[in-house]
Amino acid sequence: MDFANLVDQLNAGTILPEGIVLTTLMVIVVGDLIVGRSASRWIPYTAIAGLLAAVVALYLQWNNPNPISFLGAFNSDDLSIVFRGIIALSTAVTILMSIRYIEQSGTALAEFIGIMLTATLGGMFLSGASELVTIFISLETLSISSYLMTGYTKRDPRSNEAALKYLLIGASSTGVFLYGVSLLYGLSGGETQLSAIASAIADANLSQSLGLVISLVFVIAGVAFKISAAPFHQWTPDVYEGSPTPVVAFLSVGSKAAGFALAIRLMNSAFPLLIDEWQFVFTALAVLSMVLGNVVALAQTSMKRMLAYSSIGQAGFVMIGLIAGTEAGYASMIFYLLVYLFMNLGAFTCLILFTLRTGTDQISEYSGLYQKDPLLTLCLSICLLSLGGIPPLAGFFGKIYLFWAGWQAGQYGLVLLGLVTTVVSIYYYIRVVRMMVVKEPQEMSDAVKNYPEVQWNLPGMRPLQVGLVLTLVATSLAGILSNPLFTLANSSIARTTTLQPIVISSHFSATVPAENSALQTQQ
Amino acid sequence: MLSTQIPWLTTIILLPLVAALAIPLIPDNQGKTVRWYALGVGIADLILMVYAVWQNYDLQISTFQLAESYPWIPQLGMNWSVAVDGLSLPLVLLTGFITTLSILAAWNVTKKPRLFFALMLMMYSAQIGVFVAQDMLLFFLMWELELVPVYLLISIWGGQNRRYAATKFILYTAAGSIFILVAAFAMAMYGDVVTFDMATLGIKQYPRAFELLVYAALLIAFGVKLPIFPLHTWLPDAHSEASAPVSMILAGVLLKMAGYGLIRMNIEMLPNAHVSFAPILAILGVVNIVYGALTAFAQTNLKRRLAYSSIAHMGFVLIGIASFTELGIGGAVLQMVSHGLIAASLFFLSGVTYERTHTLIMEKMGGMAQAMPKVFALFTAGAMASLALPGMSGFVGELTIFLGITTSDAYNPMFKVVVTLLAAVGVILTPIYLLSMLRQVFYGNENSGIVIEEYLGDAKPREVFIAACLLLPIIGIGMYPKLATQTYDVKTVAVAAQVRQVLPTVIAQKQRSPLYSTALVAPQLAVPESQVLIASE
Amino acid sequence: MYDFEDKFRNMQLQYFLLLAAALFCIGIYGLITSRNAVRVLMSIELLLNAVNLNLMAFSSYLDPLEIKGQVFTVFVITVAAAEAAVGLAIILAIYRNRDTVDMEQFNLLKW
Repeated sequence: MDFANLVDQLNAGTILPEGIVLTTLMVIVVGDLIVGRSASRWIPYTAIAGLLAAVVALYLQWNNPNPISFLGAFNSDDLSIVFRGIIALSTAVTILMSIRYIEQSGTALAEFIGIMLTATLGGMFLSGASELVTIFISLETLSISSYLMTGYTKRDPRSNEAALKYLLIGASSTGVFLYGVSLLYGLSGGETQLSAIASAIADANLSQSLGLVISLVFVIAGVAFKISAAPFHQWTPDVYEGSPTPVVAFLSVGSKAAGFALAIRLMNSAFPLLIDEWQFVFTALAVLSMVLGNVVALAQTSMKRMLAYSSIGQAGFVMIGLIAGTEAGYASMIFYLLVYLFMNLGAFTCLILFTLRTGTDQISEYSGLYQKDPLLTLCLSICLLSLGGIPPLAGFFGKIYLFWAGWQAGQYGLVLLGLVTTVVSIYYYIRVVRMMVVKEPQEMSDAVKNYPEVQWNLPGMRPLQVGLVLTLVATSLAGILSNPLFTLANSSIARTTTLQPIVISSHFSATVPAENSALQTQQ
Repeated sequence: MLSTQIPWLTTIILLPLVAALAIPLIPDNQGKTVRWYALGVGIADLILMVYAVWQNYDLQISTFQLAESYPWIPQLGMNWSVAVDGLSLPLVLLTGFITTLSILAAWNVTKKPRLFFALMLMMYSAQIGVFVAQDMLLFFLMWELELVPVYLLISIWGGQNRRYAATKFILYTAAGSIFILVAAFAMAMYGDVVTFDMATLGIKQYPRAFELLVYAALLIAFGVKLPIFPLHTWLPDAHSEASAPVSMILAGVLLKMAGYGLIRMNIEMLPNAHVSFAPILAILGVVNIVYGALTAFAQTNLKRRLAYSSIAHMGFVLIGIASFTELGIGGAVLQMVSHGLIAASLFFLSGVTYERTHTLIMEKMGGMAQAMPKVFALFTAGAMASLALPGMSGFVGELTIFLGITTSDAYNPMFKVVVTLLAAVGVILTPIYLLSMLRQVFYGNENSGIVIEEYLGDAKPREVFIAACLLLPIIGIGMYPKLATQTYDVKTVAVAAQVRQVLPTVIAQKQRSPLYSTALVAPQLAVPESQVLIASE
Repeated sequence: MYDFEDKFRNMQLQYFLLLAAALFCIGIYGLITSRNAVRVLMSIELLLNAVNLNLMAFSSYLDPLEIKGQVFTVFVITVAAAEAAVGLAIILAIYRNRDTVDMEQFNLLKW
């Protein structure tokens, strides 16, 4: 069996985007070794080019007729392509904003970008993984790289502490997740492929067994940790506050998107029989996340902590789409994550810029910023208002679509709660806007009084500016011109076969998915 | 016809918004060019409106005209669909008129002028959008679009307590508007086809309980904005803290969005539920009138007193809406237009006074008629219009509403008598608090504590011009009401006919509300006791 | 004879699972109560070993041909080693900065 034959048999072409990222990673690590410190001038751009190339490769694979590869371990269907695209894009934007930050913190840029690309790789594999071992390995690739990035500024005790907390909580949640997975392996009689697990469980008629419910709960605990849903959120505020800000940006978008991809695939492929149970658990998680995230955010004084709690709340909103369980529900999750990518990364870009210029991230220090830096004020205001769901920004349309799908699926209570908590969230987002815009010149904070002259010609500032403008434009226009994004989200769901059984089952009966997934495994 | 091919309404909505986005490009920091630019945009949009209506609108037709519809987000069933009919037309023109005048009134804004005028123009777009949107989601979008500009306008350019007032405003309105979205979802997803088109939603048949719930939701949403009695507390704060040009728009246009919504959605789309809710609306209207008038008495702040008088005047709109007669519903629209003009002029003039005295506390003023005779004359004229002096628009509006409710054959005579009497009490209270306001501010001996900015002196020509522009149509409508009524007559007749059509069937089928007249119900031998009891409350 | 053997095998699987569950519970207990960061790390290792035991037992009883569980175990052990390495590195970094590994002392971040 020669190499070409092997590649053909494994259908290895599906991981071409990951291959590109991996190659970029290698080029960066080796290049840094050979060239030395001066390599940091071209390394970030190489990384961004590689990520964009990966996105192009993903685009070329759109609607792949034969998505199953590596003997069923990896599924490159349109759903995974969208999520992989979101993760790659979020890393690209994050790198734009991290250049100046890392430079100013006095640590090595190449290693940071290397670790970040590794995390991206893990997230991308996770989005397509459809087999337990692959899921575990890609999840851990993502997690361990995240721990490393969190503690990257190793002389800062806050960063150390954040990394330790993240690692300990993350590793224990991995342990819990794995215990659930091992039970799943046993209950299915030794299967590791998600669809095979579902059909084996259906054949053995185990859908009511206690072991399966325990395994479901444990697995959900692991996933909920990744998407920082309450009550598995405790790490989020601490890690967000302590880690370097670009890492937080990546965690809040890329890592979270990977978590949602895992949730969709795992719940639909492995647990279609327990749809009532997992919908119930996720409903509880969504309710807690929306209430806790949005209410506690009211009391925060640090911008990063506020965004941490806001991201918990946002995760709650996205879960409405998952609970809806309809085609529109999943499409609305994807659409929301797409716009969330821009608005949240935009907010973090502004945060980094402000921290770089003033060295603080207290909300009260933002007062009077409008006088000194209108562009930053505009961008941060737009991104925060978009997160709060104010029209005609992108976030408004994202929320409308989520609530629309939730209402259509009959989740009236959840939608109502989502709307109420959205109003709460408007309060704390607009509080920041008020700080910046409304305060009189004499109420200006010390940080703003000593605000340095705005200049973009320092090394690493241009990419930051590009990121700022890019996210600003995307956040303001992605809503009004949202038709292509809607089409993208909808068609990715419509063409994804693993979601079809659930889509059918929500219309007909619960017995259909078992038959369908059994059929799929035969194919 | 070529001119109908032009997307008039879209242009009218988008022109101020696009113009607002272009403001950062204008090279001037002193605010001199910006204000001319904003005024130019305001006038251009107003001319555009008038021209479009002049050319393409037929006053004799009650259906939608100048309609445009483009699919926007087909996945949600959301369309960019706009049109005007007799209900929207007067309010759209009112918006254009008042906003343009308020831009002129804001001539002296020197603090962040570019942001100010940009926000004013954004608000302009949003308000027109609300009045012409024919898609529930688009309506909701426009409704929410106006939130942040108003918030910033109050909280940056307002009075002492402006931040509190602005936050209260945005939280109340945002919380209220949730219900619009919920109602839109509920109606749109009912049945097989998902659509947000208002006309289609009006045709759908809903079960009774469902319709009542949706009606209640919309009533809360609009009740916050109108405002209706227990939901009103944001209004006195917002209106009194906002600067004069902003409170002109707040009182002149913003409140009308709710009245418009009540007629457009609650009556037109949910007529069956309206039959059940109408007596409640009438009672709430009376409560508004009496409560507003009594509370206005207790205010020492000039603008707060005017704000409470707004609450009282909007109570008439509620009664008109509840009346089931052509006269009543027409009167409600007329009252909205007339109150828009009157409140705008009064708030503008109180702003003119404030610029000179730097206080709004009436006790600190006094005897200013001598120092500022022109302001005094204009203020008196506005107050007379507000207290419904015959020959002014306020009189015509309130009179038609009274006629509407008394001639309504839907209600039990006792109920009508009580409602009319209490509303009349409110009408009597109005001159008392308005005249006492005039007395405190302008008559008597000059208050020694008051410092009038000498260099400003009496009203400037610009200020006289604005007040005159507002007072002329007030008197014009008062003398010749057809000026205003012809714009909406055909439509309100159609609305009244529609709601009267369902009145007897609903009453006969489902309920015997003791408040309704027995004339429309199946004949009864004796009047039940409860009927008398409740009616006499 | 066959009956006895079958029963024996089934019971054995249960014993393995019970042992794993016990290990898991001890791990969770250690996780909650430990104040020393290294001990917390060790408790996490216990969790992972409980998982390994589960996987091995299932693999040899239910999936003796493809032994996917055993392969899985190898991966878990490898990843656990990597995780421990990163964990110890972080603990070392924090020890350098703070001169302590007591969890109660790590309170710079709280709201």
